[in-house]
Amino acid sequence: MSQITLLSSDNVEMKVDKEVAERSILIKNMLEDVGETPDQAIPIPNVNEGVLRKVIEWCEHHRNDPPPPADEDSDSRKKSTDIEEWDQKFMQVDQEMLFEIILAANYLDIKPLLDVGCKTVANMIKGKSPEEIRKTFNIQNDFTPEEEDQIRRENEWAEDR
Amino acid sequence: MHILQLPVELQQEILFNLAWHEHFIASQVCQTWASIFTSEKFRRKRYVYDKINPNVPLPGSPTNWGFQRYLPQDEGPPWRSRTGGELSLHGLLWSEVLIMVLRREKGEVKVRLLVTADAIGYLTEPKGLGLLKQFHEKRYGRRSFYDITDSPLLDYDKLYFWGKRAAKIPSSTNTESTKKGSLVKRVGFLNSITNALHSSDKKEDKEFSEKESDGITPVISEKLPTDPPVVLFRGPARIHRLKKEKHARYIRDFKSLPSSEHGYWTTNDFEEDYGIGAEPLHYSGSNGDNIREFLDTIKKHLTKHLFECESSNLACWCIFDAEHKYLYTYDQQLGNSLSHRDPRRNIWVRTAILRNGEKQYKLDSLTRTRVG
Repeated sequence: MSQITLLSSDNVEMKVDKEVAERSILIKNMLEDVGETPDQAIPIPNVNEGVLRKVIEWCEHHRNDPPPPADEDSDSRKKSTDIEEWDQKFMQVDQEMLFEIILAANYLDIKPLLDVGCKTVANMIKGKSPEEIRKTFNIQNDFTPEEEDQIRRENEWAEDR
Repeated sequence: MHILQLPVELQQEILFNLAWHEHFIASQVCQTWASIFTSEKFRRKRYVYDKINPNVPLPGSPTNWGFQRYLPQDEGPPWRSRTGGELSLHGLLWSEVLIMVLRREKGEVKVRLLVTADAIGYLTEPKGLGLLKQFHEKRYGRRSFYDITDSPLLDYDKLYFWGKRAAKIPSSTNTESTKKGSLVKRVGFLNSITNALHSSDKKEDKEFSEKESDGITPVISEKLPTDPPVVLFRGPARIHRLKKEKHARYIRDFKSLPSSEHGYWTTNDFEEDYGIGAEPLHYSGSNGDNIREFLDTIKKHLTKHLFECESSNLACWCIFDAEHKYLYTYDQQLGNSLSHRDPRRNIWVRTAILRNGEKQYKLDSLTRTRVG
């Protein structure tokens, strides 16, 4: 099986099966444009070694997955936040890495990985109050006092009755 | 890396996984998210709850233009589609059972909507909200009431209840199908007022006129109408009044009562009354067509009867329901065939909007983002 070399943003080369790398639509299109397996490493300037290794790990595990339908409806993709067990474990990383994976998946055009990443973050939001969400993601409350007052009043209903 | 450092389109991608009722919570986190949740894409998610299935048959339905229909043999309530779609705000408002809880608190009437879990459960055991709430809690957790009447999102979530009955509009552009009694596949907004006002600029507005079988010439517009919608509440409202001898132990204002008086009301503390809502409630939408005004109309209607006329009332549950006897009627003209009186028949939805939205969303999701 032919292999290609990817070059991370911090200049680390990684050999990977072409089939695995082609889970990335970006790389797949790039290889199709070149027309043959390139001798030189393919630069991935936006993804560092650690993140690229994680992405390749995901691609290797899902190398035999059928590609997502091209015309798949966006809403149907969003119906469930269920995540496969392997993917759940894969996504058990710190937030920094999680967001980097999401960015890399978006850049490399790996939609299923992007979906898993987004669902993972969404699951971290679900069931929490606004303050709990802020705490989880270290988000600063940037509402004005007037807006905050309105929020406080709106929050009154959230008590279980 | 921080979540807010992600490009906005990726934050949208993440937040789009949340169910509609979680929008109201997450929009309070920060201004960026508040802004995201007021965008068209999210409004649509709250409004349209599911992937459209065009092949669900409904007796007497002109065309299935969008939303999942509720049929008696369905397992779940109308907003729970066969494919597991989420309850939407639209689904809530046009569900068979819409429950508003009005409560006088600190001199103000607060409105809460009860998100019901199982309309069938309610219909078979109409003894109050206990069972319903129990159903809900099993499926969705304890938080059953959503007081969304103060949410700014309501200003963005528009209702499109438009015009007259949309059924039986033969296509003048397809005489063959007209003869066969087929119905127009094209959808738009049907409004007699629009008819009168815009008859002079039909071509500019891409409206088309079609002769209806009864001689009336409706105009179907592909543009969103700007004139007031008309919503008919097909009651009756089922009012649960707090029994006169009961105290409002439940409300914070009354915490000074002896501790033995503390606790929650039970359904036994209420008596049921059908006194309101026998007459249809017309929503004129004179000041707009957003959901806030729609709910305010209901609130005003009910408070006028309950909280102003009778000061002893401290709370009520107002259930606008469409029971079987109302939903289904035998149509004598059609040989006593069972006719489904779907209240949502009056809604015309411009499917082009949805399709455009999907395209837009796909563009969003395809946007490449570079790190650094």
